[in-house]
Amino acid sequence: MSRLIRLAVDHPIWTIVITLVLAVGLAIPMFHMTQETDFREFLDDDDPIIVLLDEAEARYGKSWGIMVMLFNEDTIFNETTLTKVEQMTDAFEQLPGIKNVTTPLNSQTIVGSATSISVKKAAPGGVAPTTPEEMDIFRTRVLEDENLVGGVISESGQAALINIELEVGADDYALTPEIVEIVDSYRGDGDELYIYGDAYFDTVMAEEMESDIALLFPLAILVMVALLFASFMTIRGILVPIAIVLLSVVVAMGAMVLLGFPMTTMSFIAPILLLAIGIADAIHVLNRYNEEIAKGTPKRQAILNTMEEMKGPVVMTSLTTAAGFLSLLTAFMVPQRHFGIVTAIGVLAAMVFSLFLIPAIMSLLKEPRVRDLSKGLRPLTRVLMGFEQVIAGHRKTVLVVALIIFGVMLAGIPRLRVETSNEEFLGKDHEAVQILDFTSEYFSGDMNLLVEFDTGHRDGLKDPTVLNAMLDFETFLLENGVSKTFSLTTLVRQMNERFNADDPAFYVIPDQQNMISQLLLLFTFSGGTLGNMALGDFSAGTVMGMYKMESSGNVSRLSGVIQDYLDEHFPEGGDLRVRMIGATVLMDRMFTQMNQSQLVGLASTIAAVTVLVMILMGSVVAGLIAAIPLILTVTVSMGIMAYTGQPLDMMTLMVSVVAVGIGVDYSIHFISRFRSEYRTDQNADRALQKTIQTTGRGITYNALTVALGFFILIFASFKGIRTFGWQIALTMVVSALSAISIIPAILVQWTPKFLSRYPWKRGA
Amino acid sequence: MLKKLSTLGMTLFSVALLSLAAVALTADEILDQMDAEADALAEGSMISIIRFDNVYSDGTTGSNLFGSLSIPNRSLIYFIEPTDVLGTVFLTHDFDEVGVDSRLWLFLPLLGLPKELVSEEERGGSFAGSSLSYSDLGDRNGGDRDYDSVLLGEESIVVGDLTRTAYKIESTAKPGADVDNPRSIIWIDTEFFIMLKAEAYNDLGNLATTTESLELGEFEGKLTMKVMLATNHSEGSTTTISFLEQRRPDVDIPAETFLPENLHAFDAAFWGFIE
Repeated sequence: MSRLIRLAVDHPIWTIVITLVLAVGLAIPMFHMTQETDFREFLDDDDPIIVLLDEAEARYGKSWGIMVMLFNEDTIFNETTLTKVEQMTDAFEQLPGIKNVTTPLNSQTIVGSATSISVKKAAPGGVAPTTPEEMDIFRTRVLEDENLVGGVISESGQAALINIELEVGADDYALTPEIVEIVDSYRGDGDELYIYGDAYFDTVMAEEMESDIALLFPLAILVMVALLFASFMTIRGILVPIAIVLLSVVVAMGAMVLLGFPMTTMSFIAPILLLAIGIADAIHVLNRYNEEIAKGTPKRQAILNTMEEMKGPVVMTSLTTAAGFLSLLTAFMVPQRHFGIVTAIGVLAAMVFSLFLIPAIMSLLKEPRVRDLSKGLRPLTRVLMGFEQVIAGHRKTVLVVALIIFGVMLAGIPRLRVETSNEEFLGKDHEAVQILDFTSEYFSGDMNLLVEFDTGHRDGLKDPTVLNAMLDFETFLLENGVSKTFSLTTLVRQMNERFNADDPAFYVIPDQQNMISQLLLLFTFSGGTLGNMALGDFSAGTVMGMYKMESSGNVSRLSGVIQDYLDEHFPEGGDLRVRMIGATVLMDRMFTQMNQSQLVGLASTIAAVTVLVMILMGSVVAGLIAAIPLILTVTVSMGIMAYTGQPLDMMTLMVSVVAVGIGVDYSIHFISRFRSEYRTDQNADRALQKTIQTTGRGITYNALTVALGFFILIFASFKGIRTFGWQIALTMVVSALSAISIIPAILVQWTPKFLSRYPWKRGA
Repeated sequence: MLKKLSTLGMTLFSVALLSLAAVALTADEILDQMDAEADALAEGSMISIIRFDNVYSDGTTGSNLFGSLSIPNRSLIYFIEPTDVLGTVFLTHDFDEVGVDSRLWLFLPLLGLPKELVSEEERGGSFAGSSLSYSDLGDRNGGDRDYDSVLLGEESIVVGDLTRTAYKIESTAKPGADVDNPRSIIWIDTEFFIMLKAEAYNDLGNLATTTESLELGEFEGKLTMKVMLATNHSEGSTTTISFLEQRRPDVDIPAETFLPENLHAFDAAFWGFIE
């Protein structure tokens, strides 16, 4: 490595040209970056739940899309509002990729009399009624149809819903703006229009991710510039580290595209993260170079001395940080793995640039005019000196206090609640969540659960026993928080009643299978469609339930009680196979698996970096000491979340992993420098003093830089990202404090043997 | 509607008696000739046995076996299979008067009485769960009233082991016409004026449905369609229609057979639909 560094110093132009060519080469693919916000894509294609969903979609079609709710304070039963519904429907149907548009006007209703029966659109021809008589008939028809109330019309008659079903494979990112444009053109006249639905949220999130990056990334750079200026007070002190991190970001993002990874709500923070992390090595290298120049060392030798001194810590910290992020490869969710890989690539790129590009640039530039650092940093130095005296004088107290904090925080962890709902991630104040809350007041909820009843044989679903079992299950759902259910049972009962001149006594499942067959035949002959209620051969069908998600805990609770019911009433191996196949089971699996895998991942991250430190420093004890601040930081981080009521979610679960990945650097830098100083005279107090003044200062600056870098995320659109930002910032401060307090307390108290044994760098 | 149902199994497989004016015909003349041949075949009483083999969009399958009776302006379809709907009768009355809608009844044996189907959607609805709608089964979506047609030329169409020459005609909906498929292409046998193949396109210009002959046969010395495949591309479903039997009864079918109030007494065995 030393030879390569020397080569870079002796051939700076070539080094810079090669770097720029690499950067440009990787910048080009960035223009082809794609986005992915569909939760379903967060799981592997071969995940059992995804396999199940694929199978279900092949059988019953895909039930997702965009909803438009029209709300009128008085009633939607007026010509103006309903004409809007009609015209918007026509406009939506003209868009390519729209499979079906269902509204109160065109929903199918069954009308029966003593001599006739008909399945027809609620409004003839799907056209808005114009006369008072027509409006009365329409109002009565839709408000008395239990399939429509809560589905496309609110019970109060104040809200109508337009369900826009997309074709499988339709580009929702392209369709959403067109739908929004159509909706916007119909606003006014006392009607409020709200758009929601999975496809819409996906697009909104993708758009906000874009605008967030556009805002936050420059903001983060500005913060870095300010901190670098405060640290170096020179142009080169600002430009060189910024160049290093920008190049690292380009490499990481370019690699992301080349690897076929889309930008997700997780990976979109990677550029900001890399800015904060990548700058650390550059700062340490430049600091050291300035120290050499200050000593009067000639430029070339100063560069070589600096790199000889710094290559070990730079490589070690980068490898451990990269290892920390790569431990996300064990994560359950695909975006977490992608995030881990991309960030690790960025960290390693920053390492390479710090090792070779900085020396090349330094060799091209004149020697810096080094100011009196001790003078400029006097306040911080004074603080750190005082801090060092406290640590040195109260080593046991420091350790006891740390132990108490650890215990208190650990005790809080069981209180942690897990919450990964969209509402939690977006935040209650997010417009999309507010719309969801509002629309849920009028309709049956934003989440659906789909349960398949599979008899395994043709026409099995027409068996009255099966239909009654479905009906019982629907009753169970309605008693357990589900607002509305849809299935063949309602249809069969309705047909039976309508066929018998609307006699309510016939609103039951007929006893004979042939009767059910004939009613269903009558239904389809009358123009009715079964949708996803049953397969074509009636061997299987679904019960769909609608409910308000409220929280991921609610999803898990519902999923759990349903599974218990299914286990009890439809045990495996029975004649009837009943299983959950819809969004609810997908979400539940994500929630439970994600948390499990994340905790395992966190433990493996700590273990991995500890082992790596052991190997790199040639000491088991050194590795264990380095791990102590990490464990304390993670515990404090989770404890604070628990005590402040912050939930663990997809993003905050990552806080600990990031904290370990970055925090281990502080341990390494501190232990390395302390050992280096200790080896000179075996004087622990002096080694501590020197380490605190140099590396301690670097760690403090670095922690502030990283913390501020992440703190920028409080300006993000999503609450989940904002929480992530301030928690990381807080965690960095805790991590740095732990590194410069607990580690020195241990090292001074016990002066472990590795301090004088196994020098980890040549010439130390 | 009568026209549609009476020509079920006739329109698509009618045979031209003569290859009249086969040269220099316009598209409208060819289509009129096809209709005339179908009408000629629909004259008198007819007994048919027809089988539908459906492949639904979800991949499952199902079959129906029907017996059909028809006289001018009246048609009756008796469900033989599946057995749970055995005895169901679908009855249609059609009227020659312009603007008078067809009347449809469905008789369900377990319920013991016919119900008139008054849905406005039935023409676009699925026929017995198949890939065909009533519109697909009937005439040319309103024919000359709703469409402008042009002759695109002649093409060879292979049906089974036969290669037939066909007129290729494109029909486009007239402005303001209320039609499901604004554009269609139809291939009509140049000799017998039966439809060999048809494609219908939806509002977005996408292929919505196709109908194609898989096997041709002979009836009363005319070329007829024996097996056809209907595909609903929007839904992803198909129906293979096989005309298992077509015959004229020895005596005309009494008109009383087609009265809704008589459906409960319909004697399927008499007409050879069941044992």
